[in-house]
Amino acid sequence: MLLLLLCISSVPVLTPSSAFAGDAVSQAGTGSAPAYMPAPRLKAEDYPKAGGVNPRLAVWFAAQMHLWFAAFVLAVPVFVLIIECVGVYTGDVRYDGLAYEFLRVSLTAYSITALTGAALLVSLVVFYPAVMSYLVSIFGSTMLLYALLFFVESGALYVYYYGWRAMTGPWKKAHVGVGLLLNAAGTSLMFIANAWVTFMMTPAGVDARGVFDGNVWHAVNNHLWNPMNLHRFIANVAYGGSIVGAYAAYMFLSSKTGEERGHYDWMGYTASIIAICGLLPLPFAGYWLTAEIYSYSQQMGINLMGGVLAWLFIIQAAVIGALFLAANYYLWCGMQRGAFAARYNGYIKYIAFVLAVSFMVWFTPHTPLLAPAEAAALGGQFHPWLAPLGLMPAKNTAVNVMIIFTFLSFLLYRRSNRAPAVKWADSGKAAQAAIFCAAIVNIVVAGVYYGYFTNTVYKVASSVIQVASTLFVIIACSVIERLIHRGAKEAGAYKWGAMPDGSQYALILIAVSFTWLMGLMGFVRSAIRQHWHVYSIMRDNSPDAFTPTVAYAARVVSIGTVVFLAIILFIFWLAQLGRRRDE
Amino acid sequence: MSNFLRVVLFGLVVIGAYAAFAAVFTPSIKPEPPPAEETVSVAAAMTQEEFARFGERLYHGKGQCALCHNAAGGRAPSLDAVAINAARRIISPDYKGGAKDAAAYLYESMTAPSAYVVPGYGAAGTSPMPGVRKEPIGLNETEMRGVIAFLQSRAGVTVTAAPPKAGEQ
Repeated sequence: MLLLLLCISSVPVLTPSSAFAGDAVSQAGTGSAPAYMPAPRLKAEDYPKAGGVNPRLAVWFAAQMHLWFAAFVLAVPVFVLIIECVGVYTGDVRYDGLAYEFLRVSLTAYSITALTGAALLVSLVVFYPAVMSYLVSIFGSTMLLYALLFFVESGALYVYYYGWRAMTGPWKKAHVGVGLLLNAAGTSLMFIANAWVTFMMTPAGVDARGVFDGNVWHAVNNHLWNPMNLHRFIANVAYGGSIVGAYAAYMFLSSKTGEERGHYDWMGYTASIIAICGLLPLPFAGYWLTAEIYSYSQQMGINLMGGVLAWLFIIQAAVIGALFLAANYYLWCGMQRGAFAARYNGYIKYIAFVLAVSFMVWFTPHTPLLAPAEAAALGGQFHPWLAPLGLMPAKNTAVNVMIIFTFLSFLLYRRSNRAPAVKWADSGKAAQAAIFCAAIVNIVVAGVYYGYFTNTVYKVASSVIQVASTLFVIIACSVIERLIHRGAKEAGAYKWGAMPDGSQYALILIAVSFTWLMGLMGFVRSAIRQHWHVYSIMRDNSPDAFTPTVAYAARVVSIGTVVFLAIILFIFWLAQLGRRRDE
Repeated sequence: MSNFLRVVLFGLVVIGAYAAFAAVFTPSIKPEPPPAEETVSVAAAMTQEEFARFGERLYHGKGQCALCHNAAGGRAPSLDAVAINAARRIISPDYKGGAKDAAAYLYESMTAPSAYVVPGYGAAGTSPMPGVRKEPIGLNETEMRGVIAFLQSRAGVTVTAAPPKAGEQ
């Protein structure tokens, strides 16, 4: 943090004498108000040269590593606090032990997050001083707040971790309060950083030349700030669950005794449920973010979804399809822990079929890869039947159906070890089936009608109906499920540890896929600014201002993922050493 | 093989599969380089025909018009016959803008797109189209006239947008 403060203070703040700037502009009617400069108009020679180092690649790599670690250290406390609260609520000490175990695992990651953050800051200041100068001239005060919050977060973390064993009994609630403070500080840090990056995409509080109006809140509360905050928060919850799940899976596979396997099976289950709970609403948050991008700038939206970058979303569909299939596979394997699993095994093939069909719809590109001869044989660039599946209404329909059927897998899992005790259970189940069917019909009809039989204006409207239907299914069926099973007796204990090894690889696949996907989506978020440091305000005239190919971006992300996961493995290994010492 | 190696190998295979998918199954399209920053300078006087071709280059390039106004996307209305339709629109009772002739309507559509929204392409009074004067498009007056000349030429009507004089920007 000292480095952050030093770097901020060393960045040349834009003043009227700045070499880059034009005329200073003072605020109207406030003679003594500070003058703000237009955004610098840079030339290629204004970018510092660094022999042998590609500036964009250096910043990209440092930013990506920092984002992964930051997501990890923000996600784990959310996960830990949820688990600790569940432990307090249920009185089950296993949850407390699980939460503590994982907080310990993440401690080393905090140091590495600070190191990668320092590397990012240094690379930005060295390679893009004028950009940093402009951003500091607007966001300087928030950067100081960021540093302050970092100290608050660090203090809360130390008290939370080292006070775990001491703050018990009457002090437990205070300990939960410290956990809340830790999460509030961490989430606030993320929100502040989000303001900087979203300002670069959808600048606010500045005029067409980039002259700041002096009100920091205007710049912070820009068009994409809230959608980005929500999307990243939910993604962090899912990501935290997935990483903990992968850790549990690895420990499960390495376990020597049945007791150990049982413990890590339970840990993997708990983590995966949190990950899936985050995964289900994530597409909705992503959809809101994308809709707001279109709302801000049609060109930016089209560059995102309709140009070269659109192929990234086919890759995204493949990865998210893999995530959903892996999550469902894990739930189906998990059903076998319960005594009543046989009742529901027959449904699995139908769920798998629906998921596979939905996945293929989501995966269908609008513009297929065709050689000229193939295009001639087809009669055009678009297949007459498959082309409609390449449009967003079809994909929205597919993803909503996938979410609903994943939720169905979860319901069946919950029923695999208990039978309802209330008299009206059959009516309740019939009501659930009716809600499922009505929602699916609603989603498909809305997607087809609004997507293909009305004009462009109403295409977006269909997605609102679809999302509402899906959310209604999840909420209404969860409530009914809870009421049906009130007082239900479980058919013996779950057979923890009885999972096949393949199910654990599903958990590892989820964590690896999540990490890779975060990298890819981080690239596309940044790439839609194209040749602008700050979109439409401050142009990027460096030699690296071009948009790289999709394959190149995927290679950079893949290398980053390997490095990141290698460090995470090292962190897990360190945590194991500490655990053995404690034992 | 130890579990550690199996897990590492599995992770590498997953990452490699995604990278290979991106490299093999997506088209290897190299995105266009950023457009030149300078406004298009007109060094010498142009004929009407040259001016329309100049506008066509802007239409597909710096102006980014074809990004939305294309048959495949259906995101914005076709401009193939807009110079003909414009003459009808300005005398329509639904038209609330201030243009008095077709060329003025085209100019108004670029600088104040919400003045008239073609039915089906946005709510009345709130066009999704951005004004073309502002960044990231940033057309100047000569360039906007060039686009009008191109649209008039494409529709087969008389080109009334005046070509620039030598040295004009």
